[in-house]
Amino acid sequence: MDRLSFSEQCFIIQGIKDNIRNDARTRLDYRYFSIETGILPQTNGSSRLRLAGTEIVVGIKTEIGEPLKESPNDGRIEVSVECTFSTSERRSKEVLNQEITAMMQKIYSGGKAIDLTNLSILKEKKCWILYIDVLVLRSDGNLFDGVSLAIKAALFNTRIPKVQVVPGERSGEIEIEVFDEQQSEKINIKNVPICVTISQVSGFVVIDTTVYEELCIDSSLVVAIDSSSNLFGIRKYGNDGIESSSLIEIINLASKAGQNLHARLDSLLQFEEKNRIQNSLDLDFIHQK
Amino acid sequence: MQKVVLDGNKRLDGRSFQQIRHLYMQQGVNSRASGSAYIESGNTKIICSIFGPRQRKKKSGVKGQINVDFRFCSFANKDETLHKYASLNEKNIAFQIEQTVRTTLKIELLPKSEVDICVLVLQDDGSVLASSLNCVVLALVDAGFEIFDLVSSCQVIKIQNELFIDSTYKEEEESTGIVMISLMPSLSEIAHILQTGEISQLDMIEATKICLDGCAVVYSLIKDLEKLQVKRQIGCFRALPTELF
Repeated sequence: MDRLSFSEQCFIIQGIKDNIRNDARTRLDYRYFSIETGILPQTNGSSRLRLAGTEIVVGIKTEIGEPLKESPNDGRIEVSVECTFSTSERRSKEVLNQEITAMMQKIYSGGKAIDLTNLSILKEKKCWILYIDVLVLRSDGNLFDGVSLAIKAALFNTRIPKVQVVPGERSGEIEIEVFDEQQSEKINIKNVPICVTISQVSGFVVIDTTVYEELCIDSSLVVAIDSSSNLFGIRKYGNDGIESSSLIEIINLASKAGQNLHARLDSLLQFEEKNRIQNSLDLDFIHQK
Repeated sequence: MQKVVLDGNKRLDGRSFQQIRHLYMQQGVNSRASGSAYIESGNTKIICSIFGPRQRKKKSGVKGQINVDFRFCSFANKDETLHKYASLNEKNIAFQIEQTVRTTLKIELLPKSEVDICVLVLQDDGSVLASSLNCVVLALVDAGFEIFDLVSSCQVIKIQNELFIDSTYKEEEESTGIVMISLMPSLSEIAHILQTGEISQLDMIEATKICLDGCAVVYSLIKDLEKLQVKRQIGCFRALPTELF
């Protein structure tokens, strides 16, 4: 699905110009998304996001490791994003993996999105390492947004076990006692940003593009924004430039869209958290629509 | 913050907050390449060579291909591990350069061909991406590619509540947010934008303005250089008095 015929492109662009897209949305409508958390029992936190045809699974594992020399007081977060073969062709898939991973890694290793000092166990010796593994099962466009939403949901679901540092048998050694699961702690996700991709198609601004629409866009701007309008990253893709006068407008639009998305995701997560306790787990996620 | 990056009301190298460093630019430094350029922005020193266009090795597709090879010299940084673009490694910076070149270059004029762009950072003293992009554009002009505009790039960083243009390596270590913009001034279009770290929405708007102003300054410098270059070329065949030029 890497190419569209000229007439197909014209049809999509005309629809965007007329403010009615192929799935009856207007230019600034977002597709409904559903979220499930705690789907992978082996992980410390997990989530599955469905944004129309886009399906993303995130698993977060915690591990005790050693902090980096540059930041002895901080824990670490390692993000890896992998798109399955069905999402696109090989070369573009590799670029996509690399780009999404770089963006997410940059967001989470800054120490502002999640307070990394909270992940420290013992200064210079031991810290928690969060491995965030993202798997894109199917793609129907808008992967940056989808991945960031799914990661936020998984972080909401993540519990870090409570530990205590005790002196070892020999002098100078340390041991770490891990308490049982009931005493695990939540992560503060108040400052976690989500990405909003704003695309431009012949002068019109579009959000939440589908795969076909992504083949018609001139340029797109990915803006990572948290719930109090702080920016965590901006990247530009596409072959055309962006009017310098409209840049600030686009950022303001991204900020508004970001607020709405944060609010919707938060309410979904609260609802999900309540429901999950009542319902049993449903692991048959690959075959479901 | 005072001691690390500021000396009174000025920065350590005597600049004000919104002043860019001295730029030294030279084209045609590598005679074997089809186009090359060397740029010095303060102590940041970058050399860029462009090879091609030549026939594509892989047969698939008719679109022109741009290969960017971006490298730091082993002696470019004082401490390699402590790099501000830590997760933006060489591969990622190369991708950013490729994106910008795609926007700048008329790629549709180069079907079935590929262009190799090699960027080598000899010394890293901050604003590496912005300086590299300026260098690449100079090399593109030297190679005689058709480009939409002389893309000029500039970087702004945020340290606590202050915004610094064209940051040095030391300032970048202290920064919490970085904004880099490449502008195509005569089209007033943004060819590329990259922001990392955390920055509030209001600061971002302010930083954008400062960045665009910086780009305009860089643009005038690049344009002057090109005018000089053209004059020099014409000078070889000059038959008219100098005042006419």
